[in-house]
Amino acid sequence: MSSVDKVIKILDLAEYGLLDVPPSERQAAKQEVADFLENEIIRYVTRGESPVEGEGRFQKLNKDYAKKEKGGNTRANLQLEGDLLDSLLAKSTYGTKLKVGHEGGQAPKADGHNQLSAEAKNWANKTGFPKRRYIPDEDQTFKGPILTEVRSIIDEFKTGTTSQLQFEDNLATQGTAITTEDLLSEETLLSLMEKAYRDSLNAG
Amino acid sequence: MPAKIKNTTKQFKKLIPQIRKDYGKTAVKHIKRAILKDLLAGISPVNGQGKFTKYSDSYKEQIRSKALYFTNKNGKVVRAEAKRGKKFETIQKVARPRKATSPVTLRLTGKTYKSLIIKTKGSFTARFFKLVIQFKSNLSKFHNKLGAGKSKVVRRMLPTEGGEKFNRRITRVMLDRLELSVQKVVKKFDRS
Repeated sequence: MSSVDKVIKILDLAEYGLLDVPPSERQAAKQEVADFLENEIIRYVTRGESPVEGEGRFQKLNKDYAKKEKGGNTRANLQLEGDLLDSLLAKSTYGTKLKVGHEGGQAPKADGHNQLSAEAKNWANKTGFPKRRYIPDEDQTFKGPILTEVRSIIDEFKTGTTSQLQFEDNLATQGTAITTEDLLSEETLLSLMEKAYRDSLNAG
Repeated sequence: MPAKIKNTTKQFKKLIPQIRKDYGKTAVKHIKRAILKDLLAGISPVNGQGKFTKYSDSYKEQIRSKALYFTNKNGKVVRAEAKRGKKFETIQKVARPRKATSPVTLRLTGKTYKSLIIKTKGSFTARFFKLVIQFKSNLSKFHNKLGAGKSKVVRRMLPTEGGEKFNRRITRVMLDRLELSVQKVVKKFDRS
């Protein structure tokens, strides 16, 4: 299949405004972006869809394989034992950079699906194994809505407006419960109403 | 502050109950969907927690087998492991569990998922007004805090520890829905 030891995409968050974030907040901003990216890739893949711009839905599974291994469900979510996505990581690396992908044992499998290396592409051509890309190639990027959210996260750190919406344990006798008073407090709602009203006046 | 906006603050205060009512009616189903969608994808709704820890090999074996058995141990319902010569009282049997070994969804019969309730609480005119999110099923306590199975694996379902919050996607749904409720009410105010 492939003998690579890593399948990694490096994102430079300077392209999304990280250098405008106060230096003391940059690491936190990078971590927030990393957490978001890792979850978002899994969300897309679970639905059988690529998070990479220009790539569409994953080709469905072979019916016989699906019957044997997936209870008949032909949606390709790249999950059988869970080892592949379990090894997916998104983490801060040097400077303004973030790395996303796989390193180590699962890298060959990841390359088999993503087909980024020449070796994997040749193998896929010979075997007909479909490409199911979830890590962008060098000349690719993530889909627009994902990058919009990345920018939004960084903007919030720039302006110091990261959501502090926190919950408290309700110490429920039954099950698990949490409450928040922040979201629908008088203060929050007045601030949002004034902003909405101001926006509507400016809009004409 | 511009005079037009200063004068409206008093009037805006009167609109607060409408926003709270609207949010309670329209937003909660979207928040519920966002939480359950993440659980179904094997992602913790709690910020920073990421993917759920994989199931143990023994549990995966049981999932692949024809049935899952549950028994009573010291007053608690636990999964029973079939061992040669060992008898146990079966209190529940889930035949041919329609459950994949991955992703880790914490879903077997769907009882815990169905127990998720989200509601608003308090007087619409009070200064503070609560949003309550609860999994009524006691299984959620094991997953979220006490640890499930022999290895006591914790898989966080709700942000119950100090300083925690929901992940980005779920927080985004809560806040976007709030903006929509606010815009709906302010639009009517603007026209009057």
